[in-house]
Amino acid sequence: MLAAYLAIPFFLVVAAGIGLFALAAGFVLGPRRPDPRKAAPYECGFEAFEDAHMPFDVRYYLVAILFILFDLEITFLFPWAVSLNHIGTAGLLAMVAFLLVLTIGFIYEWRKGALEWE
Amino acid sequence: MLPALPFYLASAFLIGASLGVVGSRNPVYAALFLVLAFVSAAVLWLLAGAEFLAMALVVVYVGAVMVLFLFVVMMIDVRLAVLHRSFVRYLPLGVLVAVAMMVQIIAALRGLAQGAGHAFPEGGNTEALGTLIYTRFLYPFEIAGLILLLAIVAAIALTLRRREGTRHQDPGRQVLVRKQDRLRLWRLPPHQASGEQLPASAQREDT
Amino acid sequence: MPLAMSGLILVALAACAVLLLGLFRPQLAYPATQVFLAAAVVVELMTGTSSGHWWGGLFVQDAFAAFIKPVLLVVSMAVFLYGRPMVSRWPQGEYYTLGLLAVAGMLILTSAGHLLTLFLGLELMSLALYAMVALDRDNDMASEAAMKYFMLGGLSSGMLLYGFSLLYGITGTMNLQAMALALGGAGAPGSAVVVALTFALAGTAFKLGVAPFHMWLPDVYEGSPAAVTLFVGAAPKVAALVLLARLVGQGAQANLAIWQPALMVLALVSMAVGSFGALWQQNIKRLLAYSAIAHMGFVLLGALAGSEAGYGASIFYMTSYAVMSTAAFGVVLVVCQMAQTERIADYAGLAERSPWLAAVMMLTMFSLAGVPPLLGFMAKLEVIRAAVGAGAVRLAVLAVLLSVVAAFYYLRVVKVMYMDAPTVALGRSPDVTVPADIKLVLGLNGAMILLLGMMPGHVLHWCQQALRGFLLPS
Repeated sequence: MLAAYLAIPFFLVVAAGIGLFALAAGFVLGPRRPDPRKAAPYECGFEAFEDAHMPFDVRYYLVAILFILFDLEITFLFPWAVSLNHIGTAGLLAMVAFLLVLTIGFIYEWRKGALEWE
Repeated sequence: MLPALPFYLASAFLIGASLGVVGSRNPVYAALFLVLAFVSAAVLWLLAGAEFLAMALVVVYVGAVMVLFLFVVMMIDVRLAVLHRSFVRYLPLGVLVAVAMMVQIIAALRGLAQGAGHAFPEGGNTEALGTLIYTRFLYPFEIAGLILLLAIVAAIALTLRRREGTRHQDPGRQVLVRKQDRLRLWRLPPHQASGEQLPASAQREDT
Repeated sequence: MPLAMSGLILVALAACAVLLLGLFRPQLAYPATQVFLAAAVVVELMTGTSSGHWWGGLFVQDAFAAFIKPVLLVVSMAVFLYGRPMVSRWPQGEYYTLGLLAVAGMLILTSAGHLLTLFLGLELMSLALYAMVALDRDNDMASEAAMKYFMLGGLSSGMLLYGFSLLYGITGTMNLQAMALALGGAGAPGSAVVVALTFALAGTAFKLGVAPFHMWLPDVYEGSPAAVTLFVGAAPKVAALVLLARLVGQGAQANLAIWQPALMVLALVSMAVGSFGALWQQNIKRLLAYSAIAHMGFVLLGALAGSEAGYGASIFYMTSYAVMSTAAFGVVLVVCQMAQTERIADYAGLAERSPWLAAVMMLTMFSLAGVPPLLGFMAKLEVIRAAVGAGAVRLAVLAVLLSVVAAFYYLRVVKVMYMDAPTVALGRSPDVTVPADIKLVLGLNGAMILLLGMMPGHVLHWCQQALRGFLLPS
């Protein structure tokens, strides 16, 4: 079974290789002559006066939470799709009921305007 | 049994990433280390044959929960120095709890582990899991649907706030607009259109 | 699909329907909720007797569930009725959907013969309650209360789940009947069972609001809007007792020696904390919160016997408490609407202003104090009898003494209502007409406290009947 996942480590090695190659090439080939002025953080000509951690608008959280919920729905769909041959009509109807409940949630979400950014 | 090399590799990554989570001074780095820890844990689960759990960990935790984590890290204004001081202060207690938990887990596993099954079901355990969830455990599955519905309602009811006076586009109305709505032709008497009455900006451009 | 599930399915459908109604016709959300709940009561009464086990105990219908479910539904109907004037400013569809989902969670919990559905039902209920507390978003106190409730509730769920996982690890089953057999057998390692039951009991005690796991309760009761406090304080308490009965009573019935001493300590501490803590309270909701803690201690007096009769007494006590607490908060809600106050001192002169309201409150307070011949007295009598039957005589004596302490603060409320001169809040407040249906049901509620106290035979008999066959024959 594990052989099916053998591509993943290869993929990781190749991805890491490409990333490292790009960094290394820049490091080796690019000229680097830093001085204090160049190394200072740049913010439109001012000294940096604020931390970069700006509080996010609460709407981002709503989008993230709704994303998690529908992500979980997908997670339930996955084993369902794989086992569809064994679970018969009852299994099919179970998923239909599950999706109906979530569709009602989706209608609510849509009508409330939770998906709009204004 | 577990292939030894990938197991030790993933475990090393998991331990290193976990140390990174508690040790890094920048909370964003800590969150990213947590992503690495989740991925390493997913690899461990995969090696143990729990492929569905591994997938769920990557899809739900790495994909969705960590995004929320990063938002939260951005939102709270973490005072790093204070955090670091409390880290040192609570280190002895933390080590004590960790050791106690480890002893407990070892003690518990020694008593119980023999009975636990290791057999991989035919066709992978995602299929086996699906066959169980949608037949025998159909009822809890539907309850999970209700809980997700509840979460949708609660999240929207508690955070969605309409703002007054925001401007946004309505493509439908944009398409439906006609020439009369936007363009108005004025017939002006010719003597008013002399150079003196040009707008100030236009004059400045001439000079 | 089991026939006995129809009531639950109806409530779940109601939640979906009310959510959609809230989008298009918000004013219909309330009547639809009540109609659905009433229909569910009828369905439960009709189908409740078709008992059995389905899906390996995931859904169980027994006499216990057949008794508890209509009680939960009726109490929820009264709660929605009393709360309606206060929640009319809030988003309608959301409030009633969350309420119905909480009710669905309680029904699932009541019919759970399996750790999985026990936990899922509890979580469905708890999550809905957290959101309901926070629903009035411009209310800072409520947001704070919701935060505390959510944090401590989450912690307690975690403890409960840890206990569940250990129980599953020890017994290899999540079915409560099979678990009872496995835990009673010789193979179960004793120390691991102690750890597992400790965690499970601690989580349950959190949900019940039993001292020393009661810290969240006064703050949540005080901070929540009164309509939600009413909801949190009535049906979910019954559900928490169901959790205790199913988990400890059924699942760990063979391990009486482990959990009986723990329940004794919890009962005693809870009665003491509740009785003494309430003495200095100025806020009526906080007073009722401490009163709830004390009453949960009394509920445990019955449960600690571990017998069918003991649980019968506990269930009777809890049902009576739900009736009394609903009446008390019903009056608090009306006064909230009338005078915008929750201070006990502001109840002065209520007897002149609104004699029937004061009369209902007086009946309720006397009943909560355990004055004969009211409902609260009969309930106390039954649990104390159960405790004595279990050999906990000293605990029973202490319970009686502590209920004398508790009587003091209930009588203080009565004294303020009848003897003190009105304060500014009640004296000058404009006339608010109380809807006729609320008046009627509050009156009925008060009458129940009086009549059931004088003639408890039927209800008591039902409670005892409901527990028949609850435990495995030993």
